[in-house]
Amino acid sequence: MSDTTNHEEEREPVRKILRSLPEVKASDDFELQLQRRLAHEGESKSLWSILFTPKRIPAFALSLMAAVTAGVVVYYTVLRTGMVPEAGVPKHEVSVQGKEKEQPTAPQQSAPAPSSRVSQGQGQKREASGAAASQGSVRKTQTTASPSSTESAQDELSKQGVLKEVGGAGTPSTRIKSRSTRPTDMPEVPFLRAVPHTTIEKEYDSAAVADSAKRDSIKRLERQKK
Amino acid sequence: MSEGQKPLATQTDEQLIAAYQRGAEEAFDLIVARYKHPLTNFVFRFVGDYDDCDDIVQETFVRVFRNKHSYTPQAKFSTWIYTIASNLAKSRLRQRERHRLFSLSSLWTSEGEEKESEIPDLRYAADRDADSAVKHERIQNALNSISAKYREVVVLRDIQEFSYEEIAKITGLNLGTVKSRIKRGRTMLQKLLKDIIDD
Repeated sequence: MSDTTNHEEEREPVRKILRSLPEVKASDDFELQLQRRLAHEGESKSLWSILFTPKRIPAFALSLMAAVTAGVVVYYTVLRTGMVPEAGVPKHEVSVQGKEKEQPTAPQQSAPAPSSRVSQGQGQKREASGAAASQGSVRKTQTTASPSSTESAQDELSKQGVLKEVGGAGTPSTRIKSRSTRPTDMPEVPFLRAVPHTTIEKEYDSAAVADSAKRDSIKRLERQKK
Repeated sequence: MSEGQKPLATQTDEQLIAAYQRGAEEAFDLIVARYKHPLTNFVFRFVGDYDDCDDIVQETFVRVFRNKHSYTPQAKFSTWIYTIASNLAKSRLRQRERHRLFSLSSLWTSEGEEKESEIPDLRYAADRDADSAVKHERIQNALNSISAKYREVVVLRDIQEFSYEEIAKITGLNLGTVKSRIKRGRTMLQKLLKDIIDD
């Protein structure tokens, strides 16, 4: 041990007193006890190291990794596959016919009513095979009407905001038809299984109101022409 | 004569530990012989109990035996072994303090009754003069009564005669802290041992 004491420190009284203390020595059997201890250390180490010595992997890192893995698994297996779109389902997709359900929501004035394109004879036949009797006259009326009058009537109605409630393409005939054929057509749009019937009923109720308003306006226009 | 050809007994501590790292078991025995008494003296003055001191010094050598390859020649071997001993001694003191706080016997100690003694066992003291023994006992009691952080550095400096730099390495403190703690420790001891100093 190096000694770099200065002279002032040598005169330090406490230092003198402490240096006067005798050296405490190890016991006579110190080395024998140490050998026993080392021998015992060697024996126990093998068993201990096999069973209990942890590997040099931080426990915290392992637990963190396990938590992240569990979170990822839960996210991909439960949350993503279990997702059901509830809000924001476009109402126009409620309609039954496959073509119409793919069409984006469009105002009535931009899309000409399909019924207007149908010839009178064909339209009558197709639409007569449909739904409720109260709305049968409506269909007939629609097929006999000229495209221009139908379009103008629709324009008028869209201005009134009636057709907007229904939202989207689809003629009254298709809506009526879908009322009766809805159960069989429903599986085409899988997520609609979750949509309660009451919701659809409400949509058709407002559609019926719009239909009747439309019918009235068309009648008025025809009378005027006559 | 090369290092390997010199007898182990004449080699320095660093050469001995290097030889032990290479597999020379007798080098370890020589290290034990060289350091058992100085370490016992240091640990006893620091801890104040001989049985604990014996156990701590043995554990120090067990650690050297187990971790011989963790020593690098960048530091002195004495610094390394004293660091191990100092850390073990501090752990034992903390353990003792925790035991004392939760000890039920302290609740029933009344005036006049002997408390758990902190007076060191000096049965292995070289000097058997009664007056000297009493004086040494008082000095040790005074050492025991100051805080461990001052006691450690005072013992390393004034008893073991390490340099300030070596003490800083052993304790892990910076040089300024070592010096201030030594000064503070000496001041406390001077107050406690005033009558002995005046004599």
